[in-house]
Amino acid sequence: MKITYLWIQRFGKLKDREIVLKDGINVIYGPNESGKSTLHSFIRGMLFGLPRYRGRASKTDPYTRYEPWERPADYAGSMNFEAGGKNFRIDRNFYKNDIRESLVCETDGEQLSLAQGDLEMLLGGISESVYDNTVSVGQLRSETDEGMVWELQNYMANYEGAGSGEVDVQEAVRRLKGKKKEWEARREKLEKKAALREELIENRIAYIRQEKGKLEKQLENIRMEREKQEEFLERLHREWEDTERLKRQKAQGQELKRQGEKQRETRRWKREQENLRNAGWQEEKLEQGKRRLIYMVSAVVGILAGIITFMTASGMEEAAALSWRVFVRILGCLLMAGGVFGIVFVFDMISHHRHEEEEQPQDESVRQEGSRKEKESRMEKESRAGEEYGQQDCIRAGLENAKEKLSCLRGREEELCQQIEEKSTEVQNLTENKEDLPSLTDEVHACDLEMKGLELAIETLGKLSENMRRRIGHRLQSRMESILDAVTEGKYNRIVIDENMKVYLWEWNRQVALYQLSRGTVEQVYFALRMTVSEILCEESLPVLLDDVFAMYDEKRLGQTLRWLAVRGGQIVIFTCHKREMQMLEQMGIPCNVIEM
Amino acid sequence: MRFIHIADVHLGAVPDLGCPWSASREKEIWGTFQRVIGLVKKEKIELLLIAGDLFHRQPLVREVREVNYLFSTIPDTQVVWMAGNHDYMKKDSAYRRITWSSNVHGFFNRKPEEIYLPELKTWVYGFSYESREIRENPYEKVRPNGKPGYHILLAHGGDEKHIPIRKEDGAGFDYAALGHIHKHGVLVPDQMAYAGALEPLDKSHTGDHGLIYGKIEEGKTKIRFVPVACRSYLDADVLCDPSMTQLELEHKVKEEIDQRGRHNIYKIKLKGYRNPDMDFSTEALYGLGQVVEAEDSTLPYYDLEKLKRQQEGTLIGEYIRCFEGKLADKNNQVERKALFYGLRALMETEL
Repeated sequence: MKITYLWIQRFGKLKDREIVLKDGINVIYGPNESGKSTLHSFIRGMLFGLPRYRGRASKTDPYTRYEPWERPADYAGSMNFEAGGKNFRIDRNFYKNDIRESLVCETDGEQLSLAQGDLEMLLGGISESVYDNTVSVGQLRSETDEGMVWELQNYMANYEGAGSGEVDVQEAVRRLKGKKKEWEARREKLEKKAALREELIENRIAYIRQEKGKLEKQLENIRMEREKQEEFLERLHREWEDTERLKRQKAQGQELKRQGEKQRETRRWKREQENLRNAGWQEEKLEQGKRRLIYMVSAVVGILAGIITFMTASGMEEAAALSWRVFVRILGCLLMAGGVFGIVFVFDMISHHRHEEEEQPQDESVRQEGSRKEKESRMEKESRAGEEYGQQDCIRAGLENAKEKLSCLRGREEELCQQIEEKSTEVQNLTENKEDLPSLTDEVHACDLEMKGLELAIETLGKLSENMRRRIGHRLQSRMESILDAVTEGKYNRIVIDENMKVYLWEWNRQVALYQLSRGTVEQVYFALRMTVSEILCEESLPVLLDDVFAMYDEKRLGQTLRWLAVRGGQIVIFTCHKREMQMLEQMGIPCNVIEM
Repeated sequence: MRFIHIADVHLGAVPDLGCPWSASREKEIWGTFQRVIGLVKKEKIELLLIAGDLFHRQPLVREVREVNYLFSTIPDTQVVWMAGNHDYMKKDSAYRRITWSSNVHGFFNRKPEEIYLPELKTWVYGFSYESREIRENPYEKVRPNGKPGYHILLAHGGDEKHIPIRKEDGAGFDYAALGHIHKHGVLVPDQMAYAGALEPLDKSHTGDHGLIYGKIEEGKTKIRFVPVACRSYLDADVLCDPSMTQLELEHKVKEEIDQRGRHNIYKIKLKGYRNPDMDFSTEALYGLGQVVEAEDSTLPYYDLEKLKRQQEGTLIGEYIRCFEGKLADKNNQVERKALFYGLRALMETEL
């Protein structure tokens, strides 16, 4: 693209001014305040319009800055340029109440639309910010050296972002990471599901274990009962043997009595049966024994008390009243009589009871079960009484009863053991089920695959953009080096750009940071960088506008730079307030189009 | 003589634990076993062969009693069973602890034995597992005794850890009834066959499940597979195209399930291409029927060649180039995924 003609109706201090620009180097010369920078702004305004800010900021916006003092309605102009072999004209009226703009292709008369971005297309897709950062080169604005270095550094960092092309890699990577998180969540859910399944089985196992525990407790009780029963049986057995021996001894001496005894035996056996059906009989025996003992004791105590009372009465002092003495004596007699009566009653009861026992065993049959001890004591008594046969029958029946009970207990014990064993098997089976749970590996694997895919995508993207940056960085570096080499006559021909886009120069064999360089050299690095970036970023070669760029250059480097610009070609517009550029170009025989403001 | 050969009933197994139908599946296994007994009774089958793994784990006494009860309802049928690797015969196995009905004959030891059934003039050869694994092959040495009558081998195994049975082990027998492999299969036509699991037990058990019905007449054996399982695991592949929406997919899946039977259990796999801008939600498919698995293996619909040409020199073009050559191999699934994920992210964020 080349700007060929500018017409300024009114723009800042400029009015009704025509300027013709040519290919190659154009020098716009004028003293300070002559309108060079205004012209520079006019070109920018022609390309991108004049932005207006709102509110307080509007006082300093470019529109206000260049609004003509007189006849503001004439705030307008036009620019002719050539691009792609065709001629175009832009007309703009900036005046706020009458904003007009048009883009016409003069070659074929076609009306183009600025609003729809036709101009941008002609400029090779270059945006306002790229224009500001590349082809339109001014001096570094900073006053101080330090600030200037920082400004350059910042510019480099921004350039890095622009370098990766038209996709937002960071955003893409962020999305991929989000996707990966989604899959991670899904994987976690699966794991939870697996845990839940295990829990299902574990709960079941816990329940069965609990049941098993209950059964075990029951078993323990039964076992204890069984052992007691066994002991009891053992004792009965011994007793049985004792009576057996006794029986043998008696049998010899009692041959004669046998007939009678036999009758009694049957009777007794019957009674025993009854008794055993309800062993409470023994309880009754105990009660009666106790009662007898109490009667006996109280009778004896009565007699003793009677005697003591009587004795006391006889030993009483004369002084005591006669009636009192008589009373005590009568009391003693009564007590003794009571005691004697009691003893007689007890003996009578015993003999009566014994008789009853023999005759009416059924009467005692409806009683509670008795303790073994009582049974034993009764047996002893009975053996003393010489009734071995009856006792033996009783033992035999007891034995049978106990045996039956024992086998019942044993059966229950065995049953419980089996139940417990079943529970153990169940627990074991469930444990195996848990171990053999079809793992969710397939599903988890699928998640892993997606995640791996995403990881690879992220990695590849990272590498690619890094590569691309490095490649551009490399291009940038080598081009900058060649420019700097030309400008500094070979003094600096190596540049290092680190990963943070910090720039260092090599001088002989040492690395020099930007802040260690002279202001002029930093300006030259900046110039080289801008020139390079404009080459890389702008498809269409655009005119390079250099606004007072060379003020800090010495003669030698200025000469080198101008020579380099002449070789570079393309349209170059140098704004300057010095004559030395023109003189130097003339000296070097480089043709240039001089426009005096 | 007519016989029914079943194997791998796995009573007590709980398939698809965690799925809503799991509990009823557990009951259905018992149900199908009962149906087989009913069938035996109705058809007056003379011999019922059970080739191991009747139970999924060590049976409980009450469970064995139930089984014995069922056997007692077919007193005219001789039942011969063995324990497999799952219900292997422990010293205190419940199998040993009950009194079996008189028509039931089990192998109770690891040592090969012959059971003679005089009513059927039949010899059944076999043994039971006494451990989870048997790596050698004792069937090599089990040969028919040459006495007049039918000779049947009852065997369980077929892999490295569970008796590597070979085809030759069935030679000389009128029939070799095999168990352990859950998929029905015939090793030697009419001679040697796996009945397969009576009911499918997990999602890998696709295809029919049932029993083998056989007949030995004049020394000739004929067998036939009869499906009796109440449900099947079915693969349902759904072909997608880039225009398909989520709801359309759901309708399609539901239609497929309705058509092939709602009682069956499905493994859904999405195939073909999808719109690059969307992902199908497989979660939603689980609710459409008895779906045990739903996998999306569709590819986003990109014309990679065209895209590469269009994007030549850009990051997207470079990205495609990175994966070029790796996609031809179907095993490079990660690369495939990475390509499509990255491509989509880049296209979505293209300025």
